Amino acid sequence: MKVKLFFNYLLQFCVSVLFFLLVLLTICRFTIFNSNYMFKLLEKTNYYDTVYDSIADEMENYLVQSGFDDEVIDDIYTKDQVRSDVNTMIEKIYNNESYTIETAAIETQLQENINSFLDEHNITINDKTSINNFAKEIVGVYKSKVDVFNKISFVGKILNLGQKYLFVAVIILAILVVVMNVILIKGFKKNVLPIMFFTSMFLLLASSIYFGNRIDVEHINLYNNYVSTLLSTILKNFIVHLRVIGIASGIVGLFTILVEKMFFAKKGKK
Amino acid sequence: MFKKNFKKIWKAIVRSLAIAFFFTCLFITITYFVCLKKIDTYLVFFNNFTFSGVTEEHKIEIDKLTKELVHYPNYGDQYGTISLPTVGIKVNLYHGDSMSILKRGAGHYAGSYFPSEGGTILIAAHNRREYFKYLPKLNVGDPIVIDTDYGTFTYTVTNGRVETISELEKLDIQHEEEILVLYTCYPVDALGFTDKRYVVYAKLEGVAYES
Repeated sequence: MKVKLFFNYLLQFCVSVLFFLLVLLTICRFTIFNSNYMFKLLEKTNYYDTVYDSIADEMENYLVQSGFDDEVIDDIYTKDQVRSDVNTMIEKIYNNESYTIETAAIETQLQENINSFLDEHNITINDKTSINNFAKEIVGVYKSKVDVFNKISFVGKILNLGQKYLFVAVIILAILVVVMNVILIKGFKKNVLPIMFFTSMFLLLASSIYFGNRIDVEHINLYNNYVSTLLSTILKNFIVHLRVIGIASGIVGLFTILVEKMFFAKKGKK
Repeated sequence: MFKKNFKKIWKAIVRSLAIAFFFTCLFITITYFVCLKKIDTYLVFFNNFTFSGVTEEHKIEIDKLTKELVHYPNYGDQYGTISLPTVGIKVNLYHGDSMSILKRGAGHYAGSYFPSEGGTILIAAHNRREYFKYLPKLNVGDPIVIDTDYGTFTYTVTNGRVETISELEKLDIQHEEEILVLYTCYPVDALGFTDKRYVVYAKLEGVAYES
């Protein structure tokens, strides 16, 4: 009898932990490992506008030492182009595919602007090496500002694997949790579901407190300000999700107790 | 009836919470012994990799005996001005030589020494009219003045010549003699990016420390 009781509590512990892992993996699957979630975050953090402005600032830095006027870099790229290139890059990263940012249009427009400038000022250049160097640097600025994640290519592998296998892991865990709950409810019959939900609540809240304290989310600095803001927002949202779903888990636990005691108690009496 | 039910519900909630709390502590204990140190290590690594820190603002200070700097300016901060009296130019002098700094004035290469430290001081600026466009007009013997919070340093031009970027990169940042090296893109009225620089070398002539 005592052995049976011990076994039931052990099974209850396992199903509670599995449920917590199921919830955690589901949160990861629908947030960090989901490209649509990433696109929403990019909009929320004004990522596209910040990249656009950052490109303009950096190009100006190069313009200052070139001897050219501001008009030379006018209209060589647009906000829509930045948005499209960033989205393509994110999509390719999640699919772990290689990609290159297309800059032919930028180069063409830049050359046209340079030629207009030279014509306007009646300047004839025999050796265009320095001008070509300038054009190369300007195009390089666009590429480097848009394509920041090229430096951390292993992220693409992790995201791609996560997308593929997390879904399978979630399904397997869900099946395990259901089967174990059925065994427990038949054999144990004591507050199986509430214990599972409450354990999940405590673990999710503990995780959110642990990660909230151990990661300095406010002072993240990776590559530049817009990538830092994006990473900071991802982590803050993840911690908030843990907290909210933890509390929801607790509420569901309370609800299952009410249902069990009021609905099934009445049914028993009938 | 309601009281009875309420008692049962309350008992069930407390019992479930107690067991759940026990399971949580058990799981945390197991995790602690199995893999928390690993998780902690990864988090410390992440923090070190991404933490920006908060830079304190502090005034640049000098030790009056050794003449060595006690506090250095933060990267990007202005710490003085550099004047070329012969050509009537005065430029703000910043610590660092990134593109955004050079847009604002003269940039001091962070890997070189500061005025008074007795080593090579490397400073760059764009070839704009208000910055170093007239650097090639400096002759041997012309003065260059660096004015900082901790002192005023006067240098005399010893040499000026055209060098390539690769030649400039081989410049020896030595600590035996205080040498000031200024450079800008050359030709000064070229369009685009050239691979040549006009470099001026100057030696320390006089110092007046702030009291």
